[in-house]
Amino acid sequence: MAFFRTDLNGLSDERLMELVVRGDERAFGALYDRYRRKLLTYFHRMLWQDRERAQDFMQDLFAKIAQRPESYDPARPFSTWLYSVANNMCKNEYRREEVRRTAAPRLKAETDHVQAIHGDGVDRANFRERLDVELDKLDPDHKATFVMRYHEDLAIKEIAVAFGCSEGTVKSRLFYTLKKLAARLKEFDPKALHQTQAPLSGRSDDGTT
Amino acid sequence: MERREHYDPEDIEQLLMERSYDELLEEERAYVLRHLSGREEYEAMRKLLDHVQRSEPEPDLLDADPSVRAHVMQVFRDQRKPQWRVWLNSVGALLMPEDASAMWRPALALAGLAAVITTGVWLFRSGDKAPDQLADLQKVEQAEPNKPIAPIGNEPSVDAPAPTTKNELAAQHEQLQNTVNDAQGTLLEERRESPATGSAMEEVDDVVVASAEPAADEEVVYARKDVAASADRMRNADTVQFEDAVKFTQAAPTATNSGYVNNWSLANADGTVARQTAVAKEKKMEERRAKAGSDRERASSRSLAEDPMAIALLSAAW
Repeated sequence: MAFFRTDLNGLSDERLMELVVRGDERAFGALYDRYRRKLLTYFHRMLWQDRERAQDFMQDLFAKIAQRPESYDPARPFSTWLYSVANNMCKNEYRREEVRRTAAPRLKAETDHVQAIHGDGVDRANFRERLDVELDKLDPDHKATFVMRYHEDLAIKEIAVAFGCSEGTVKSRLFYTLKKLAARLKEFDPKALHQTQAPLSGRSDDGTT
Repeated sequence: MERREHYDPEDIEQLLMERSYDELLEEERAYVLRHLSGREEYEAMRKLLDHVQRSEPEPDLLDADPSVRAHVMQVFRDQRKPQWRVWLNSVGALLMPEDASAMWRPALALAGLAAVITTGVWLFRSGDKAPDQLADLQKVEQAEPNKPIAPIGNEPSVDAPAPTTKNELAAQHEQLQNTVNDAQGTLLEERRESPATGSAMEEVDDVVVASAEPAADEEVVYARKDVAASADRMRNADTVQFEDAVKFTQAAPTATNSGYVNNWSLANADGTVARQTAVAKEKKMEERRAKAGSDRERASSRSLAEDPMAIALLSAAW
Protein backbone atom coordinates (compact mmCIF):
# COMPACT_ATOMS: atom_id res chain seq x y z
CA MET A 1 0.00 0.00 0.00
CA ALA A 2 2.91 2.33 0.64
CA PHE A 3 3.76 2.13 -3.04
CA PHE A 4 0.59 4.07 -3.92
CA ARG A 5 0.89 6.66 -1.22
CA THR A 6 1.48 10.19 -2.39
CA ASP A 7 4.13 12.35 -0.82
CA LEU A 8 2.16 14.74 1.33
CA ASN A 9 5.14 16.92 2.07
CA GLY A 10 5.04 18.38 -1.42
CA LEU A 11 1.42 19.40 -1.18
CA SER A 12 0.31 22.87 -0.17
CA ASP A 13 -1.52 23.54 3.07
CA GLU A 14 -4.76 24.16 1.22
CA ARG A 15 -4.51 20.87 -0.66
CA LEU A 16 -3.78 19.02 2.55
CA MET A 17 -6.80 20.65 4.12
CA GLU A 18 -8.95 19.42 1.25
CA LEU A 19 -7.76 15.90 1.99
CA VAL A 20 -8.49 16.42 5.68
CA VAL A 21 -12.04 17.42 4.85
CA ARG A 22 -12.37 14.12 2.93
CA GLY A 23 -11.15 12.24 5.99
CA ASP A 24 -7.48 11.70 5.14
CA GLU A 25 -5.77 11.04 8.43
CA ARG A 26 -2.28 11.28 6.97
CA ALA A 27 -2.99 14.73 5.61
CA PHE A 28 -4.15 15.81 9.04
CA GLY A 29 -0.95 14.46 10.54
CA ALA A 30 1.13 16.28 7.95
CA LEU A 31 -0.59 19.59 8.74
CA TYR A 32 -0.04 19.05 12.42
CA ASP A 33 3.65 18.40 11.90
CA ARG A 34 3.99 21.52 9.79
CA TYR A 35 2.40 23.91 12.25
CA ARG A 36 2.91 22.40 15.66
CA ARG A 37 6.05 24.39 16.52
CA LYS A 38 4.86 27.65 15.02
CA LEU A 39 1.59 27.46 16.85
CA LEU A 40 3.20 26.38 20.06
CA THR A 41 5.58 29.32 19.87
CA TYR A 42 2.73 31.67 19.05
CA PHE A 43 0.66 30.49 21.96
CA HIS A 44 3.70 30.55 24.18
CA ARG A 45 4.28 34.22 23.43
CA MET A 46 0.66 35.18 23.51
CA LEU A 47 -0.17 33.34 26.71
CA TRP A 48 2.37 34.71 29.12
CA GLN A 49 5.10 32.22 28.22
CA ASP A 50 3.16 29.44 29.83
CA ARG A 51 4.34 26.33 28.03
CA GLU A 52 1.73 23.98 29.42
CA ARG A 53 -1.04 26.35 28.57
CA ALA A 54 0.38 26.90 25.12
CA GLN A 55 0.46 23.17 24.55
CA ASP A 56 -3.13 22.82 25.71
CA PHE A 57 -4.22 25.55 23.36
CA MET A 58 -2.44 24.02 20.44
CA GLN A 59 -4.08 20.71 21.20
CA ASP A 60 -7.48 22.36 21.38
CA LEU A 61 -6.90 24.12 18.10
CA PHE A 62 -6.08 20.93 16.23
CA ALA A 63 -8.92 19.13 17.93
CA LYS A 64 -11.26 21.80 16.57
CA ILE A 65 -9.86 21.28 13.10
CA ALA A 66 -10.31 17.52 13.44
CA GLN A 67 -13.92 17.89 14.56
CA ARG A 68 -14.95 20.52 12.03
CA PRO A 69 -12.56 20.63 9.10
CA GLU A 70 -15.34 21.87 6.84
CA SER A 71 -15.31 25.19 8.71
CA TYR A 72 -12.16 26.06 6.80
CA ASP A 73 -12.78 28.45 3.92
CA PRO A 74 -10.73 27.21 0.94
CA ALA A 75 -10.71 30.71 -0.50
CA ARG A 76 -8.42 31.87 2.30
CA PRO A 77 -4.81 30.82 2.87
CA PHE A 78 -4.67 28.09 5.46
CA SER A 79 -1.99 29.75 7.58
CA THR A 80 -4.01 32.96 7.79
CA TRP A 81 -7.11 31.08 8.80
CA LEU A 82 -5.14 29.06 11.34
CA TYR A 83 -3.66 32.13 13.00
CA SER A 84 -6.98 33.93 13.05
CA VAL A 85 -8.46 30.98 14.93
CA ALA A 86 -5.48 30.95 17.28
CA ASN A 87 -5.78 34.68 17.83
CA ASN A 88 -9.45 34.36 18.72
CA MET A 89 -8.58 31.65 21.21
CA CYS A 90 -6.01 33.93 22.79
CA LYS A 91 -8.51 36.78 23.02
CA ASN A 92 -10.93 34.55 24.82
CA GLU A 93 -8.18 33.51 27.16
CA TYR A 94 -7.37 37.14 27.86
CA ARG A 95 -10.95 37.75 28.89
CA ARG A 96 -10.97 34.71 31.13
CA GLU A 97 -7.65 35.75 32.63
CA GLU A 98 -9.03 39.21 33.31
CA VAL A 99 -11.88 37.66 35.25
CA ARG A 100 -9.46 35.45 37.17
CA ARG A 101 -7.28 38.37 38.08
CA THR A 102 -10.26 40.34 39.25
CA ALA A 103 -11.37 37.45 41.43
CA ALA A 104 -7.90 36.61 42.79
CA PRO A 105 -5.26 39.25 42.17
CA ARG A 106 -1.88 37.91 41.48
CA LEU A 107 0.50 38.29 44.34
CA LYS A 108 3.40 37.85 42.09
CA ALA A 109 5.05 41.18 41.59
CA GLU A 110 5.47 41.84 37.97
CA THR A 111 8.34 44.13 38.80
CA ASP A 112 10.42 41.03 39.23
CA HIS A 113 10.19 40.53 35.51
CA VAL A 114 10.87 44.14 34.72
CA GLN A 115 14.23 44.16 36.20
CA ALA A 116 16.45 46.36 34.19
CA ILE A 117 19.15 44.66 32.34
CA HIS A 118 22.25 46.64 32.73
CA GLY A 119 25.47 46.17 30.95
CA ASP A 120 26.87 46.67 27.53
CA GLY A 121 26.18 43.22 26.22
CA VAL A 122 22.72 42.11 25.18
CA ASP A 123 21.58 38.95 26.77
CA ARG A 124 19.15 37.49 24.33
CA ALA A 125 17.43 35.41 26.89
CA ASN A 126 16.93 38.36 29.14
CA PHE A 127 15.77 40.50 26.29
CA ARG A 128 13.26 37.88 25.26
CA GLU A 129 11.92 37.67 28.74
CA ARG A 130 11.70 41.41 29.03
CA LEU A 131 10.08 41.72 25.66
CA ASP A 132 7.43 39.18 26.59
CA VAL A 133 6.65 41.08 29.75
CA GLU A 134 6.22 44.28 27.83
CA LEU A 135 4.14 42.58 25.20
CA ASP A 136 1.77 41.32 27.86
CA LYS A 137 1.10 44.91 28.84
CA LEU A 138 -0.01 45.82 25.36
CA ASP A 139 -3.44 45.73 23.88
CA PRO A 140 -4.18 42.15 22.73
CA ASP A 141 -4.65 43.18 19.11
CA HIS A 142 -1.38 45.09 19.06
CA LYS A 143 0.40 42.26 20.76
CA ALA A 144 -1.01 39.66 18.37
CA THR A 145 -0.13 41.83 15.39
CA PHE A 146 3.41 42.19 16.63
CA VAL A 147 3.81 38.47 17.31
CA MET A 148 2.37 37.46 13.97
CA ARG A 149 4.53 39.91 12.12
CA TYR A 150 7.89 39.53 13.82
CA HIS A 151 7.71 36.08 15.37
CA GLU A 152 5.52 34.10 13.01
CA ASP A 153 6.77 35.90 9.92
CA LEU A 154 3.33 36.48 8.49
CA ALA A 155 2.98 39.09 5.76
CA ILE A 156 1.04 42.25 6.48
CA LYS A 157 -1.62 41.14 4.03
CA GLU A 158 -2.05 37.83 5.82
CA ILE A 159 -2.29 39.54 9.18
CA ALA A 160 -4.91 41.87 7.75
CA VAL A 161 -6.90 38.88 6.54
CA ALA A 162 -6.50 37.12 9.87
CA PHE A 163 -7.79 40.13 11.77
CA GLY A 164 -10.32 41.14 9.17
CA CYS A 165 -8.94 44.67 8.88
CA SER A 166 -7.06 46.74 6.32
CA GLU A 167 -3.33 46.54 5.72
CA GLY A 168 -2.99 50.16 6.81
CA THR A 169 -4.42 49.28 10.19
CA VAL A 170 -1.87 46.51 10.58
CA LYS A 171 0.99 48.85 9.65
CA SER A 172 -0.21 51.50 12.03
CA ARG A 173 -0.46 48.99 14.87
CA LEU A 174 3.05 47.79 14.17
CA PHE A 175 4.46 51.29 14.10
CA TYR A 176 2.98 52.34 17.41
CA THR A 177 3.86 49.02 19.03
CA LEU A 178 7.46 49.38 17.95
CA LYS A 179 7.57 52.94 19.17
CA LYS A 180 6.15 51.98 22.56
CA LEU A 181 8.42 48.99 23.03
CA ALA A 182 11.46 50.94 21.98
CA ALA A 183 10.67 53.51 24.62
CA ARG A 184 10.24 50.87 27.31
CA LEU A 185 13.33 48.93 26.35
CA LYS A 186 15.57 51.90 25.77
CA GLU A 187 18.05 50.74 28.43
CA PHE A 188 19.49 48.37 25.88
CA ASP A 189 22.67 49.83 24.48
CA PRO A 190 22.19 51.11 20.98
CA LYS A 191 25.90 51.04 20.47
CA ALA A 192 25.86 47.29 20.26
CA LEU A 193 23.78 47.61 17.18
CA HIS A 194 26.26 49.98 15.65
CA GLN A 195 29.15 47.72 16.57
CA THR A 196 27.72 44.67 14.99
CA GLN A 197 26.74 46.58 11.86
CA ALA A 198 24.64 43.68 11.03
CA PRO A 199 22.20 44.75 8.39
CA LEU A 200 18.59 44.17 9.27
CA SER A 201 16.98 41.57 7.24
CA GLY A 202 15.29 43.12 4.31
CA ARG A 203 11.89 41.78 5.10
CA SER A 204 9.53 42.68 2.35
CA ASP A 205 5.88 43.33 2.76
CA ASP A 206 4.96 39.76 1.99
CA GLY A 207 7.01 38.48 4.86
CA THR A 208 9.94 37.10 2.96
CA THR A 209 13.40 37.93 4.24
CA MET B 1 14.95 52.79 -7.16
CA GLU B 2 12.05 55.12 -7.47
CA ARG B 3 10.77 56.43 -4.19
CA ARG B 4 7.29 57.55 -3.38
CA GLU B 5 6.80 61.18 -2.56
CA HIS B 6 4.28 60.56 0.13
CA TYR B 7 4.78 58.27 3.16
CA ASP B 8 2.39 57.10 5.78
CA PRO B 9 3.48 56.44 9.38
CA GLU B 10 3.11 52.74 8.95
CA ASP B 11 5.62 52.74 6.14
CA ILE B 12 8.42 53.64 8.54
CA GLU B 13 8.74 49.95 9.31
CA GLN B 14 10.09 49.42 5.83
CA LEU B 15 12.69 52.10 6.35
CA LEU B 16 13.65 50.70 9.75
CA MET B 17 14.31 47.33 8.20
CA GLU B 18 16.24 48.59 5.24
CA ARG B 19 18.33 51.55 6.32
CA SER B 20 20.02 53.14 9.26
CA TYR B 21 19.35 56.73 10.10
CA ASP B 22 22.49 57.85 8.29
CA GLU B 23 21.51 56.03 5.16
CA LEU B 24 18.16 57.75 4.82
CA LEU B 25 17.64 60.21 2.01
CA GLU B 26 16.72 63.78 2.79
CA GLU B 27 13.08 63.34 2.05
CA GLU B 28 12.99 60.06 3.95
CA ARG B 29 14.67 61.62 6.94
CA ALA B 30 12.21 64.51 6.83
CA TYR B 31 9.36 62.05 6.76
CA VAL B 32 10.82 60.06 9.70
CA LEU B 33 11.28 63.18 11.73
CA ARG B 34 7.64 64.09 11.25
CA HIS B 35 6.65 60.99 13.21
CA LEU B 36 9.65 60.35 15.47
CA SER B 37 11.55 62.58 17.82
CA GLY B 38 14.92 62.07 16.15
CA ARG B 39 17.85 59.79 15.52
CA GLU B 40 17.80 58.12 18.97
CA GLU B 41 14.24 57.02 18.69
CA TYR B 42 14.76 55.81 15.15
CA GLU B 43 17.83 53.84 16.15
CA ALA B 44 16.10 52.42 19.24
CA MET B 45 13.27 51.11 17.12
CA ARG B 46 15.69 49.69 14.59
CA LYS B 47 17.65 47.99 17.37
CA LEU B 48 14.49 46.54 18.82
CA LEU B 49 13.57 45.03 15.52
CA ASP B 50 17.00 43.50 15.26
CA HIS B 51 16.78 42.01 18.74
CA VAL B 52 13.34 40.63 18.10
CA GLN B 53 14.47 38.85 14.99
CA ARG B 54 17.52 37.42 16.77
CA SER B 55 15.71 36.35 19.89
CA GLU B 56 13.81 33.42 18.42
CA PRO B 57 13.29 30.79 21.09
CA GLU B 58 15.26 27.59 20.95
CA PRO B 59 13.38 25.07 18.82
CA ASP B 60 14.06 22.24 21.26
CA LEU B 61 12.42 24.12 24.08
CA LEU B 62 9.19 24.64 22.23
CA ASP B 63 8.06 21.40 20.79
CA ALA B 64 4.86 19.66 21.64
CA ASP B 65 4.78 16.39 23.48
CA PRO B 66 4.07 13.27 21.44
CA SER B 67 0.97 12.72 23.55
CA VAL B 68 -0.55 15.86 22.05
CA ARG B 69 -0.18 14.46 18.56
CA ALA B 70 -1.63 11.12 19.61
CA HIS B 71 -4.58 12.88 21.20
CA VAL B 72 -5.48 15.02 18.20
CA MET B 73 -5.08 12.08 15.84
CA GLN B 74 -7.44 10.06 18.02
CA VAL B 75 -9.93 12.90 17.93
CA PHE B 76 -9.69 12.91 14.17
CA ARG B 77 -10.24 9.14 13.99
CA ASP B 78 -13.23 9.28 16.33
CA GLN B 79 -14.76 12.03 14.26
CA ARG B 80 -14.32 10.09 11.02
CA LYS B 81 -15.69 6.84 12.42
CA PRO B 82 -18.62 5.56 10.35
CA GLN B 83 -21.96 6.33 11.89
CA TRP B 84 -23.36 2.83 11.40
CA ARG B 85 -20.70 1.44 13.69
CA VAL B 86 -21.87 3.79 16.39
CA TRP B 87 -25.41 2.66 15.76
CA LEU B 88 -24.41 -1.01 15.98
CA ASN B 89 -22.52 -0.34 19.16
CA SER B 90 -25.59 1.17 20.73
CA VAL B 91 -27.68 -1.83 19.68
CA GLY B 92 -25.06 -4.19 21.08
CA ALA B 93 -24.99 -2.30 24.33
CA LEU B 94 -28.76 -2.57 24.52
CA LEU B 95 -28.82 -6.30 23.81
CA MET B 96 -25.90 -7.14 26.05
CA PRO B 97 -25.94 -4.74 28.97
CA GLU B 98 -23.04 -4.81 31.33
CA ASP B 99 -25.28 -4.84 34.38
CA ALA B 100 -27.85 -7.39 33.33
CA SER B 101 -29.25 -7.87 36.82
CA ALA B 102 -30.53 -4.33 36.83
CA MET B 103 -32.53 -4.92 33.65
CA TRP B 104 -35.06 -7.45 34.94
CA ARG B 105 -37.63 -4.86 35.94
CA PRO B 106 -37.86 -3.13 32.55
CA ALA B 107 -37.64 -6.52 30.84
CA LEU B 108 -40.58 -7.77 32.90
CA ALA B 109 -42.56 -4.65 32.13
CA LEU B 110 -41.86 -4.98 28.43
CA ALA B 111 -42.80 -8.65 28.43
CA GLY B 112 -46.08 -7.88 30.19
CA LEU B 113 -46.85 -5.16 27.73
CA ALA B 114 -46.13 -7.49 24.83
CA ALA B 115 -48.42 -10.16 26.32
CA VAL B 116 -51.27 -7.68 26.75
CA ILE B 117 -50.89 -6.44 23.21
CA THR B 118 -50.75 -9.99 21.82
CA THR B 119 -53.87 -11.02 23.72
CA GLY B 120 -55.72 -7.93 22.61
CA VAL B 121 -54.83 -8.47 18.98
CA TRP B 122 -55.83 -12.14 19.17
CA LEU B 123 -59.19 -11.30 20.71
CA PHE B 124 -59.82 -8.60 18.16
CA ARG B 125 -59.00 -10.87 15.27
CA SER B 126 -61.03 -13.80 16.56
CA GLY B 127 -64.10 -11.59 17.10
CA ASP B 128 -63.73 -10.06 13.70
CA LYS B 129 -63.38 -13.32 11.79
CA ALA B 130 -66.75 -13.43 9.97
CA PRO B 131 -66.32 -10.25 7.93
CA ASP B 132 -63.02 -11.58 6.61
CA GLN B 133 -64.70 -14.55 4.97
CA LEU B 134 -66.67 -14.64 1.75
CA ALA B 135 -70.41 -14.50 1.83
CA ASP B 136 -71.93 -17.95 2.22
CA LEU B 137 -75.44 -18.65 1.14
CA GLN B 138 -77.02 -20.77 3.80
CA LYS B 139 -80.39 -22.42 3.65
CA VAL B 140 -82.42 -21.39 6.65
CA GLU B 141 -85.28 -23.63 7.62
CA GLN B 142 -88.35 -21.55 8.27
CA ALA B 143 -91.29 -22.74 10.12
CA GLU B 144 -94.45 -22.73 8.10
CA PRO B 145 -96.56 -19.84 9.25
CA ASN B 146 -99.88 -21.64 9.63
CA LYS B 147 -98.55 -24.95 10.74
CA PRO B 148 -98.62 -25.63 14.47
CA ILE B 149 -95.25 -26.17 16.01
CA ALA B 150 -96.29 -28.66 18.62
CA PRO B 151 -96.97 -32.21 17.51
CA ILE B 152 -100.54 -33.06 16.89
CA GLY B 153 -102.02 -36.32 17.87
CA ASN B 154 -101.92 -38.28 21.01
CA GLU B 155 -99.30 -36.14 22.67
CA PRO B 156 -100.83 -33.55 24.96
CA SER B 157 -100.03 -29.89 24.72
CA VAL B 158 -97.14 -28.73 26.85
CA ASP B 159 -98.48 -25.24 27.47
CA ALA B 160 -101.90 -26.20 28.82
CA PRO B 161 -102.89 -29.06 31.00
CA ALA B 162 -104.58 -31.81 29.08
CA PRO B 163 -108.17 -32.73 29.95
CA THR B 164 -108.25 -35.64 32.24
CA THR B 165 -111.88 -36.52 32.80
CA LYS B 166 -114.22 -38.06 30.33
CA ASN B 167 -116.73 -35.24 30.60
CA GLU B 168 -114.10 -32.68 29.80
CA LEU B 169 -112.89 -34.64 26.89
CA ALA B 170 -116.42 -35.02 25.60
CA ALA B 171 -117.07 -31.32 25.93
CA GLN B 172 -113.86 -30.52 24.19
CA HIS B 173 -114.63 -32.94 21.41
CA GLU B 174 -118.05 -31.39 20.92
CA GLN B 175 -116.57 -27.91 20.74
CA LEU B 176 -114.01 -28.95 18.22
CA GLN B 177 -116.70 -30.61 16.15
CA ASN B 178 -118.69 -27.38 16.15
CA THR B 179 -115.64 -25.45 15.10
CA VAL B 180 -114.99 -27.80 12.25
CA ASN B 181 -118.57 -27.57 11.15
CA ASP B 182 -118.45 -23.80 11.22
CA ALA B 183 -115.28 -23.75 9.22
CA GLN B 184 -116.67 -26.16 6.70
CA GLY B 185 -119.81 -24.14 6.39
CA THR B 186 -117.84 -21.00 5.79
CA LEU B 187 -115.76 -22.69 3.20
CA LEU B 188 -118.77 -24.06 1.39
CA GLU B 189 -120.37 -20.66 1.32
CA GLU B 190 -117.23 -19.10 -0.04
CA ARG B 191 -116.89 -21.68 -2.76
CA ARG B 192 -120.49 -21.39 -3.67
CA GLU B 193 -120.16 -17.64 -4.06
CA SER B 194 -116.96 -17.87 -6.05
CA PRO B 195 -117.37 -20.46 -8.78
CA ALA B 196 -114.02 -19.52 -10.38
CA THR B 197 -112.14 -21.10 -7.52
CA GLY B 198 -113.67 -24.51 -7.91
CA SER B 199 -116.88 -26.07 -9.18
CA ALA B 200 -117.14 -29.32 -7.32
CA MET B 201 -117.17 -29.55 -3.62
CA GLU B 202 -116.36 -32.72 -1.82
CA GLU B 203 -117.41 -33.78 1.54
CA VAL B 204 -115.77 -32.16 4.48
CA ASP B 205 -114.35 -35.38 5.78
CA ASP B 206 -112.62 -36.10 2.52
CA VAL B 207 -111.88 -32.54 1.65
CA VAL B 208 -108.94 -31.94 -0.63
CA VAL B 209 -107.62 -28.53 -0.02
CA ALA B 210 -107.92 -26.35 -3.10
CA SER B 211 -105.07 -24.21 -4.09
CA ALA B 212 -107.19 -21.06 -4.17
CA GLU B 213 -107.81 -21.06 -0.45
CA PRO B 214 -104.86 -22.76 1.18
CA ALA B 215 -105.26 -21.10 4.50
CA ALA B 216 -108.85 -22.03 4.97
CA ASP B 217 -108.30 -25.61 3.89
CA GLU B 218 -105.37 -25.96 6.22
CA GLU B 219 -107.54 -24.81 9.04
CA VAL B 220 -109.98 -27.49 8.22
CA VAL B 221 -107.22 -30.08 8.10
CA TYR B 222 -105.85 -29.02 11.41
CA ALA B 223 -109.28 -28.90 12.95
CA ARG B 224 -109.90 -32.37 11.76
CA LYS B 225 -106.67 -33.51 13.25
CA ASP B 226 -107.66 -31.93 16.54
CA VAL B 227 -110.94 -33.78 16.45
CA ALA B 228 -109.14 -37.05 15.77
CA ALA B 229 -106.72 -36.36 18.58
CA SER B 230 -109.58 -35.58 20.91
CA ALA B 231 -111.29 -38.86 20.01
CA ASP B 232 -108.08 -40.70 20.72
CA ARG B 233 -107.80 -39.07 24.04
CA MET B 234 -111.38 -40.09 24.85
CA ARG B 235 -110.48 -43.68 24.03
CA ASN B 236 -107.49 -43.52 26.27
CA ALA B 237 -109.25 -41.73 29.08
CA ASP B 238 -109.78 -44.90 31.03
CA THR B 239 -106.12 -45.29 31.54
CA VAL B 240 -105.80 -41.92 33.25
CA GLN B 241 -105.60 -42.14 36.99
CA PHE B 242 -108.65 -40.70 38.71
CA GLU B 243 -106.69 -39.05 41.48
CA ASP B 244 -104.57 -37.25 39.04
CA ALA B 245 -107.58 -36.16 37.08
CA VAL B 246 -109.20 -34.65 40.17
CA LYS B 247 -106.19 -32.44 40.65
CA PHE B 248 -106.76 -30.82 37.32
CA THR B 249 -110.53 -30.22 37.65
CA GLN B 250 -109.89 -26.62 38.59
CA ALA B 251 -107.35 -26.09 35.89
CA ALA B 252 -107.77 -23.86 32.90
CA PRO B 253 -109.58 -25.20 29.84
CA THR B 254 -107.55 -27.09 27.36
CA ALA B 255 -105.74 -25.02 24.76
CA THR B 256 -104.58 -26.79 21.67
CA ASN B 257 -102.54 -25.65 18.75
CA SER B 258 -105.56 -25.48 16.51
CA GLY B 259 -107.21 -23.38 19.15
CA TYR B 260 -104.33 -20.98 19.09
CA VAL B 261 -104.53 -20.82 15.31
CA ASN B 262 -108.23 -19.97 15.43
CA ASN B 263 -107.84 -17.65 18.39
CA TRP B 264 -109.90 -20.04 20.33
CA SER B 265 -110.20 -19.53 24.02
CA LEU B 266 -112.63 -19.95 26.84
CA ALA B 267 -114.14 -16.56 26.16
CA ASN B 268 -114.97 -17.32 22.54
CA ALA B 269 -115.42 -21.00 22.81
CA ASP B 270 -119.05 -20.61 21.85
CA GLY B 271 -118.06 -19.97 18.21
CA THR B 272 -118.31 -16.17 18.15
CA VAL B 273 -114.72 -15.70 17.27
CA ALA B 274 -114.95 -18.38 14.63
CA ARG B 275 -117.84 -16.61 13.04
CA GLN B 276 -116.08 -13.29 13.14
CA THR B 277 -113.08 -14.91 11.60
CA ALA B 278 -115.25 -16.35 8.85
CA VAL B 279 -116.74 -12.92 8.14
CA ALA B 280 -113.27 -11.38 7.95
CA LYS B 281 -112.16 -14.08 5.60
CA GLU B 282 -115.14 -13.52 3.41
CA LYS B 283 -114.28 -9.83 3.19
CA LYS B 284 -110.79 -10.73 2.28
CA MET B 285 -111.96 -13.04 -0.46
CA GLU B 286 -114.20 -10.34 -1.89
CA GLU B 287 -111.27 -7.98 -2.07
CA ARG B 288 -109.22 -10.60 -3.84
CA ARG B 289 -111.98 -11.22 -6.37
CA ALA B 290 -112.31 -7.51 -7.03
CA LYS B 291 -108.61 -7.25 -7.56
CA ALA B 292 -108.61 -10.21 -9.92
CA GLY B 293 -111.39 -8.60 -11.96
CA SER B 294 -109.49 -5.35 -12.34
CA ASP B 295 -106.42 -7.28 -13.42
CA ARG B 296 -108.44 -9.08 -16.11
CA GLU B 297 -109.73 -5.75 -17.39
CA ARG B 298 -106.23 -4.37 -17.53
CA ALA B 299 -105.05 -7.46 -19.37
CA SER B 300 -107.76 -7.10 -22.01
CA SER B 301 -107.01 -3.40 -22.55
CA ARG B 302 -103.35 -4.18 -22.88
CA SER B 303 -104.00 -6.86 -25.46
CA LEU B 304 -106.10 -4.42 -27.54
CA ALA B 305 -103.45 -1.79 -27.38
CA GLU B 306 -100.82 -4.27 -28.42
CA ASP B 307 -102.88 -5.85 -31.18
CA PRO B 308 -101.11 -4.98 -34.50
CA MET B 309 -104.33 -5.25 -36.44
CA ALA B 310 -106.07 -2.73 -34.27
CA ILE B 311 -103.07 -0.43 -34.44
CA ALA B 312 -102.90 -0.76 -38.22
CA LEU B 313 -106.62 -0.03 -38.51
CA LEU B 314 -106.33 3.03 -36.31
CA SER B 315 -103.30 4.29 -38.23
CA ALA B 316 -105.09 3.78 -41.59
CA ALA B 317 -108.10 5.67 -40.33
CA TRP B 318 -105.85 8.48 -39.17
